[in-house]
Amino acid sequence: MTSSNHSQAEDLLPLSIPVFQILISLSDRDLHGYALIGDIRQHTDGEVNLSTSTLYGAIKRMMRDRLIQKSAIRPAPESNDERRRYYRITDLGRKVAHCEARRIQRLAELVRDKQFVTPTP
Amino acid sequence: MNSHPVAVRLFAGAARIVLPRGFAREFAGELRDSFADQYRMARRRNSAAVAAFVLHELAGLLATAGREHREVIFGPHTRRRRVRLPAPQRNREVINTLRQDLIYSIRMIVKTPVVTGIAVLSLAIAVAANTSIFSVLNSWLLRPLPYPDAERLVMVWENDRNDSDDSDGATVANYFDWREQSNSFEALIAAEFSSANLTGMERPEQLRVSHVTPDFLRVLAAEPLIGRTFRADEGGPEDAPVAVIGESLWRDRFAGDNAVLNQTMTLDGQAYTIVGVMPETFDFLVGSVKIWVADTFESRRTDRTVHTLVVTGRLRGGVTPDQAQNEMTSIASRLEEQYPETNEGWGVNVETLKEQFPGDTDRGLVQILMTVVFLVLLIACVNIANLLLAKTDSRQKEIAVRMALGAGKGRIVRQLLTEAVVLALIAGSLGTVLSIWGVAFLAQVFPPEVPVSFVPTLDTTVVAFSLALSVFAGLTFGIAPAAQAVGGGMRGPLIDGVRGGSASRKKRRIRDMFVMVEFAMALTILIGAGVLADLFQRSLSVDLGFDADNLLTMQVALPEHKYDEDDAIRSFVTQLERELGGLPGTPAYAIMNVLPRTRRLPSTDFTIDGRQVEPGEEPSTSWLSVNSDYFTTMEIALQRGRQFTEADREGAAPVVLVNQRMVDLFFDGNDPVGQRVTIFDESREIVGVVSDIAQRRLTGLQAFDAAIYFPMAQRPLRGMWIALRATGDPYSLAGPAQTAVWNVDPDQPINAIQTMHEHMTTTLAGPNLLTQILFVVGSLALSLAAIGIYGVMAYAVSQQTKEIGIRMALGAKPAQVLMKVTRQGATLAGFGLLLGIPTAALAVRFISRMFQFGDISGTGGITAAPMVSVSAMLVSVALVACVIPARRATKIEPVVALQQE
Repeated sequence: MTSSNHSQAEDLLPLSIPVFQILISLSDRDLHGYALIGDIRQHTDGEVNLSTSTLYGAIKRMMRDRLIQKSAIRPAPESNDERRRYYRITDLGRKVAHCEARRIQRLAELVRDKQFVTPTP
Repeated sequence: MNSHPVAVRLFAGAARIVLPRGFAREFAGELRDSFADQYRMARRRNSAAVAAFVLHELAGLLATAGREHREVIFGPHTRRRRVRLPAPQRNREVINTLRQDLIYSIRMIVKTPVVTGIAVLSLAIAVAANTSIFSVLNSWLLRPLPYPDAERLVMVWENDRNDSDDSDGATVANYFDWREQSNSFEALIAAEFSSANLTGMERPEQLRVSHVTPDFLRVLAAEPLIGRTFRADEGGPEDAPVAVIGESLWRDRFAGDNAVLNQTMTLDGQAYTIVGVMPETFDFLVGSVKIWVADTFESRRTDRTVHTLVVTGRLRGGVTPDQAQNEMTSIASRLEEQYPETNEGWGVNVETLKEQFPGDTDRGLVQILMTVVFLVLLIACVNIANLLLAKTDSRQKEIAVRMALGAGKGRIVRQLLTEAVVLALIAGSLGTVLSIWGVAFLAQVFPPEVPVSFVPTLDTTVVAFSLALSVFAGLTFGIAPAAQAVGGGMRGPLIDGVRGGSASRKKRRIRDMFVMVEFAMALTILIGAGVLADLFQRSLSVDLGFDADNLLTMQVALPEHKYDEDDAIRSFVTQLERELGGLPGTPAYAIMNVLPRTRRLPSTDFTIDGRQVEPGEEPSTSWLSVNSDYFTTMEIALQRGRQFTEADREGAAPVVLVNQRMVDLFFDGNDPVGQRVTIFDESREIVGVVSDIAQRRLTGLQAFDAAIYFPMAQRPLRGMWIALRATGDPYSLAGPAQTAVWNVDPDQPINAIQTMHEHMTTTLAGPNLLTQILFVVGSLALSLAAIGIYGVMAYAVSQQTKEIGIRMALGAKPAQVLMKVTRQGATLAGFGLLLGIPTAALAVRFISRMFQFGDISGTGGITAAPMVSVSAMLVSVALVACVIPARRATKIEPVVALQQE
């Protein structure tokens, strides 16, 4: 990771909720749009429920910012719908997600230190 | 694909409509599939879940569409950066928005170069016209006078209460009394304007001269270019005569040489030492004064009868003009008691400097022009508003979407207004540049008597006006499209596509109204111009009553110092007649005190002997003093009696001739020959009657004047005009005639050598100019209105192309279609006429009141002819503007028309 890459990543912070969630979902596997919505809803316990349009709006911008790209990989034929397009996280995407996670972590520490919230046991 | 449920297809369609094209192309398929998958999942649960899901998706769609459109329009502008912006930098955000608006506006303008070009050009011309006329107003009313502390300078006039409200000059004795008795003024200065003959140089020349008190230039804080102004010990009867000359005289006659100082020049036979040169920019009340002569007026100290001094006072600090007026009134009434013989009835008027100029007629003239050019500006605005309305139409969808997605009405209105104002400012800048010529033209039209400070120039105030006017114009023509864009809301365009039902009818109504107003305004201007031109033409085509062809005219003004006795003038005239009679080819010549077609005709009271008239009720008449050959040379017909002869000289029986108008007005058409009239306190016999001639410059428009003619030998005057009739080119007589004058008096200047036709053109220049300006402006208004009408009709037809196609496909004849479209245009024109004719009638009444045409008799007054012809012209322009797009519509193949959407 070059330093210019790093500052590029910093420039994009803070990430919007959809963008951060999409990066997290794509961090371990490639997914298509519908699957992304479901995945995000699942791992946020329904707290983040993206509409289709919002999702693709975010995807468009993330592709432009080169955080994700179209995936060349086609998963197993039986689960693959030819029309579906899969998305994959890029190196920059990972870096940005990492930076954002750090930022949130620092934020969380700050909030805890100032005792805004009681730490969960 | 058709297997998708209705909800999915609706969603996909909506997405296609509201999302920018690029985005839709890339993701429409995926959007639909993802939506379909989730929709199926929701259906498996319950209908509440479906409803919640659909609402959720619609909200997301709208939000995304808003965001995507913003990106399309303004480029990538991420939310993150805006969130980061600290609150204090909000202002920068506003400026950013404005910059975006500007860039977007310019992009929109550049996209439609032809339409924009026409709009900009017509607005630029309108702005230029407004700016030029405003520059006149500015120089008259707004621009500060070029004298330090000018607001403390006041004019002190005398006023004969028995005569009129007009201001007269002061007498020398009164001026001296004012100076001694008043406390309101730091200084009271006086000037007397006259002309004098400069001789002793290569050619004699008559120049405008101002005799001024020695402190005059100093009190006005006038700085000389070189040399000095007058000292307090100069200008007395015993002092060596000194003068200050103007810059142009210095450059013309003294080669702009500094050695001019302490040189002498001869003015009316008196030697003056030149002590200074005033810059060309200096003048006071009267323009083109070339020489200032120091004069204490001490030699006329006791004169209380000649009212020629122009007195100016510099008020003491804290004294108002009203206070000065009160003091001067009480001084004047004291003088009335002291010198009842001369001062009875004479009061004093204290007036500010700004009140001196312009006169009422000039003010009225500029008011007319200002109104007219403003109307033209409004017409241009209406045209551009129409243009933008049509443009907004095609952007209606985009605007509706942006609004639906939360772009505030304010934001949209601001964007559209910014666009309009940018357009207007481009036009305004161009207009300001064009007005350089306009102002130069107007400045050159001003007669030289007008002081420099009242001649229009393009200063910062004028430029600021021009730009402010442009912004005003931009807001004016921007408001309708903006209001329409946000007023219609999003529903219409989203449902109907580009063409809404009732909404588009409403738009149509706005445009129709615009066209009618435009039509009415153009009609008003053109009828005004038409009526003026008609009146003017009639005054030109009136029978002059004399033969104006091949006449050369020139003016000779004998100086008072040399010709102070009537005998001296008589002797000059006698010798001149002898010289003129000896010219090669012996041309006929006439000598007279005023030329025909003159601006100012002298007039006086007279009585007919044997008729009783109440004192103060005496009739008045114009009068002329002419030599015995006058009527023959001018070819004025003798109706009765005899002409003047050599025998009608000084000491012979006093006689006069009268004209036909005099006979009609005062002798009931009966033969007056042999009757006597008393004029200038002398009873004279009427020996003949001559026919009427166009003696005033607007005779024909105004009625003929009654006239009494004196034989010149019996009423010698220093100012005279010579007219010579040539057989060929009148100018061939110019050299010989001048030599004839100089043979009599080698120091006598000769002025204004020109043909009679040239003279008549010059005196008619003012009214002619007004007519011409009105016609230019009127034609401009007409063409703008025509463009407007054409634009609206063409648009209306293009909107109806499909309908026309259907009609034609069903067998309608082209002529029927043509009729239908033309009828729409004719209706508009008809309403425009209804609106415009009353307005035009008001305008005509205003014009005729201003030029006092009320007393026209025998000239037919204002006729209906120009109104009818102008209306007919406008209506035909409107019809042509309808027929062109209508014809095009009938030429379209029905199939093509039906496919058009």
